[in-house]
Amino acid sequence: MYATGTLADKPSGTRLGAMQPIGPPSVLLGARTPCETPHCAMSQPAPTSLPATAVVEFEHVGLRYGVGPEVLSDVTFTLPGGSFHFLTGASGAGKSSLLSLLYLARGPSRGRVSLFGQDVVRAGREALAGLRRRIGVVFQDFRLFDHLTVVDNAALPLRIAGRDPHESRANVVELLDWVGLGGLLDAHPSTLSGGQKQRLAIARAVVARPKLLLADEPTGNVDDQLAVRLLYLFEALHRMGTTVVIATHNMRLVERFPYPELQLDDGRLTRVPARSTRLL
Amino acid sequence: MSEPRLLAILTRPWPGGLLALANDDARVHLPAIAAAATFLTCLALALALAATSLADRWQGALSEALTVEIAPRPDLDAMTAKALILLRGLDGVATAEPLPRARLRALLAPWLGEGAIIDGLPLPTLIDVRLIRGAKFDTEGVERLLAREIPGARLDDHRMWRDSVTAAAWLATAVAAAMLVAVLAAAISAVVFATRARLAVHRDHIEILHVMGALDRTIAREFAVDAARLAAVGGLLGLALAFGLMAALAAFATQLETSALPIPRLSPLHWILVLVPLPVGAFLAGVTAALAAIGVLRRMP
Repeated sequence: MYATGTLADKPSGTRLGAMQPIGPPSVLLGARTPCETPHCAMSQPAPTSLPATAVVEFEHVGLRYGVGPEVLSDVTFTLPGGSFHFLTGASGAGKSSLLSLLYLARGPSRGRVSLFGQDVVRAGREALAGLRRRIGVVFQDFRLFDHLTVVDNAALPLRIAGRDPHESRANVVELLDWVGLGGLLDAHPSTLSGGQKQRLAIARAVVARPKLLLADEPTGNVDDQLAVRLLYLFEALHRMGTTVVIATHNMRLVERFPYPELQLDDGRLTRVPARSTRLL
Repeated sequence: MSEPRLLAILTRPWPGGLLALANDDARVHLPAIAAAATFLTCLALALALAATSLADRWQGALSEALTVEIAPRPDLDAMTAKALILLRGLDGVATAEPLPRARLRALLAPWLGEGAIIDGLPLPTLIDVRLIRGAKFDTEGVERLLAREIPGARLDDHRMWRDSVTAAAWLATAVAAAMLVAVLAAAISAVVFATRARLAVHRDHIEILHVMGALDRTIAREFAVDAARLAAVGGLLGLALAFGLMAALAAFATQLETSALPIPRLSPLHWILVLVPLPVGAFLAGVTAALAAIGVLRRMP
């Protein structure tokens, strides 16, 4: 029997329910930050003196589907580790295609894509799987597994990484509690609201503490208030050292959270931030 | 609990599997294929084992017995007595007894009828020679001895029958082997086809698992374990049907035993051997599904 209670889009008292960010759960802290408490992690700016090693490097990348025209052309940019970027552009500009290259769902038709210093075209399947485990993805349509419970969905990346589900359950539960789904652990995604699904998708994306977090229109299915909350969450992860790329066409959010933009226009990057960008 | 309910429970996927393998037709089709394959495999195996067993029994019986025939002649009784002395003195001979004339008449009666015709016929003497099991017996030497000492005597070592029995057993085994190969090929093709269909059905989820860093072998294992489990469930059904049929045939054979027909029988070991297709089939289904899945997964990004 699973919980099928009322929606918790505005869960009073939950972490994500608050308008201002508070500390992330310990599962996301790990050993990456010297701060031991959530409050410390959120209140301290990330150290800007660390070397900003490139996490993503694109060089003259082109992408076409089959024999069709290029949907991405001559895309060149570098994302330093720990940076936060918006990926903007009109519908059909190529945002999702660029993200799919970033999360290694496909390879480039031409050019060079390097993630974590490794050329993805030359990487074998095992190496690609290893790279993918360092990436968290929030899909626009969530892509949750309806046959799994909320807690099993969130724990999926850990399970794939070979972690003992019993050992990691406490951390997953804490994370779900943090995103306001603590009361719905045994529910199935089909019983969740759009906002709850969104938060579950985010929890799944971050549970394995990815080095690179990609989100495709993560605010596309939620109201403005929840969109801001979600951005606070991404910001919190960014402050813990995660490289974040958010594809969005919500310009109000982009204005409210003044991080650099990668702007796509008809498959070409028309705005590329300076390489040195790490944290604002 | 009703059988359909039990089947539904047995074919239900493990809770918490990476993929929702309950949402495809393989849950019904794979057990059905496995049931048919196991049923036919068990019967083929039983046929081969029964034929071999029957041939061994016949071989044993025929190789331990000889028949010496002395053609009708005026001094038939004297020659018969001489032959008996000669045969009983040979190494490896357990007994040598002439068939009573009444028995000879009974053997001929089906063809010639009872009565005066048989009475008027010059009947040969048939000596039934039983050999000591395992002892050496020089058939050709005895043949030469009989020809020299008892003109008109002929030794029949049943070689023709034994060769025929061996050939029949070989043929039955070959037919069973051909059945096994055909069933195996059909079952493997069906599992490959079903696995590819399942991969297509679950492609979206597989892509997400890949994006999360799942290895091909991790995903293939899901299909392999489920295929093996469904094959085991179907195999149990096929095994039950095959055993039911074989038990019915065994009961029927027992009724026939009073007749002169030799009845093929399965020993307790044979009955255990006939169980082998169940675990072997489940294992093969799993391995086949894994290989088929790996082949498709490697073509995915």
